[in-house]
Amino acid sequence: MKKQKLSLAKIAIQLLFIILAFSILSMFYYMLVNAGKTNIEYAQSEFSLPGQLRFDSYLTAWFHDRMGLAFLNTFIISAGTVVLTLLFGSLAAYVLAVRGIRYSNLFSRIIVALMYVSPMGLVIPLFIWIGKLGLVDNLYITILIYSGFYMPFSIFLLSTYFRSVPRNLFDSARIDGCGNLRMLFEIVIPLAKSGLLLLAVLNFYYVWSNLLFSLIFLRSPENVTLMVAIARYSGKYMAQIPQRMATLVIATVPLAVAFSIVRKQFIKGGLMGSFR
Amino acid sequence: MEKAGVRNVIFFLFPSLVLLAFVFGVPLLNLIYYSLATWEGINPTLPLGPHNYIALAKDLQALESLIRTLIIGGVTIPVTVIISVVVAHFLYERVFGWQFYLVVFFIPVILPVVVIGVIFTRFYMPNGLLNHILRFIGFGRFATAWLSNLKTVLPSIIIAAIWWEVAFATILFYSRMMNVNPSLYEAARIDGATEGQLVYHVTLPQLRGVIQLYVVLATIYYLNQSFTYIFVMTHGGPGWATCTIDFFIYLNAFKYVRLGIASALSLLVSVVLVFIVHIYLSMSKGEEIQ
Repeated sequence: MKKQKLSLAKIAIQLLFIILAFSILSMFYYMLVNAGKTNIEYAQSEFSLPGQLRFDSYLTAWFHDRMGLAFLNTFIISAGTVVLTLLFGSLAAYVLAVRGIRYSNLFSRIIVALMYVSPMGLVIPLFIWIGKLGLVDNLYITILIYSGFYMPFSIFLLSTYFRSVPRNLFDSARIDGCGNLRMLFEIVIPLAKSGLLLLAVLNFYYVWSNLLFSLIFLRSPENVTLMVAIARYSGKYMAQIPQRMATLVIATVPLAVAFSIVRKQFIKGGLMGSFR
Repeated sequence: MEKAGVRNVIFFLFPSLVLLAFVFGVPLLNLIYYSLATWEGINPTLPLGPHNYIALAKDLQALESLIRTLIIGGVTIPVTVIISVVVAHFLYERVFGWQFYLVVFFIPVILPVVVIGVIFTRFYMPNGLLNHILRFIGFGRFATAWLSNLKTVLPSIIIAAIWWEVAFATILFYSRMMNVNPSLYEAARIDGATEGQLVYHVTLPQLRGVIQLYVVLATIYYLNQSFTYIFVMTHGGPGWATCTIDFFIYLNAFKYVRLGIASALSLLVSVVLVFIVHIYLSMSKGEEIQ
């Protein structure tokens, strides 16, 4: 009797997992399947498999809807931000975590506080300021804005990795006459490179999937990012679903590739919280 | 010699300080000024005063947006914690197919919120998947246009949010459980603990720190970043039914050009966020901040 009760609970738990997995996979299925259909096939059935494997809707999205251009813009902004945050973040984290200056502690505390400043609060004065300077709708200014916005998190994350480098390495290197720049690039960075890789993936993900900043600071169709283009096309009156779904797949693939490389490290490294 | 080294190293901070001043320093000072200024269109002018805050306090839409935001967060976060603790526990207990589930739960986490919003918008359409399922299982009379119906729109958004949060929180909790000593469970089992007691008396206390972390992160998120969901799925509608606090700020700043009210409200939200983070950090001493 007791044993049967136990197995009933087991079935309930298994059912919970199946429902959760089904709800995730069905959304994923909907996106992938409809991206591979023609408009006629979509009109016939929204949920069935397409008749044959086709990539027409991807080509339509990429060329006709100019999602290729949006992809390129998004990539330039994301990659540019990754380069700047890694470079400048490493320099700053080296000072705070390895060398230490008089106000390191205060500075680190300010960095943590800045990680939680509301982006909506920054966007208003930034937009007015940049509008006055006539620099709205400029990809490079947008890279600088993103770099600044993710700099606190970058410095914070790199500092924790730099702190784990054994200190006696620095002492012996210094005795050998190793300067700060060489110390950073030849000792600290090679030893903390898993931290730099994770930060690169995370910052790429943040910028790639950000809607608000790209929406406000980039205005013309030539500079639009993928997320802004998708958000503009969406809504209740969305038409030509196959090429819209193809756009969603296009927008997801780079993130899937980036995270598949580092997924295990995320789970093991206790870094999951950074998705917020 | 040591002092010269420090002077050299100060230059290392320079580029990030410039960027921080550009994105945080100057804008935050301006935000304080804007929230106190008298606005003529898009130009802040003197006199300074608390009039924007007074107008804000009288604005019923602002209050309703705040209440909606609290409802979304207040339902989403506790429900997520309960489901995710149980799910993470049984992942740790190696439920049948756990490796498969671990991969599946990672999918929503990496999907951009914009993509999730679009897929859920399709899901809730009058001819979308949800209504198909309802008709299939014989509940066709409940089928509706979920995002256009005043009664269903907020719950629909909450469910989309929970969908993402459960996947995220499960992996977050699970990654913490990998550090839990398995002998805790063995000892409890020998003492005859049931699975439910294990969840409550062993897993839950082990996860306390990371649950606190999750609640703080999620609270911060729903107080100031539900914008993306709302923008993609409903644009605040129908009417004002899904206008959250940050969408209210967005509308006032960039659509209605009420920059004084928008500045005042976003400054208030920022202060509340800093306050929440400060309390959390002094409670946990920052050990779980990642």
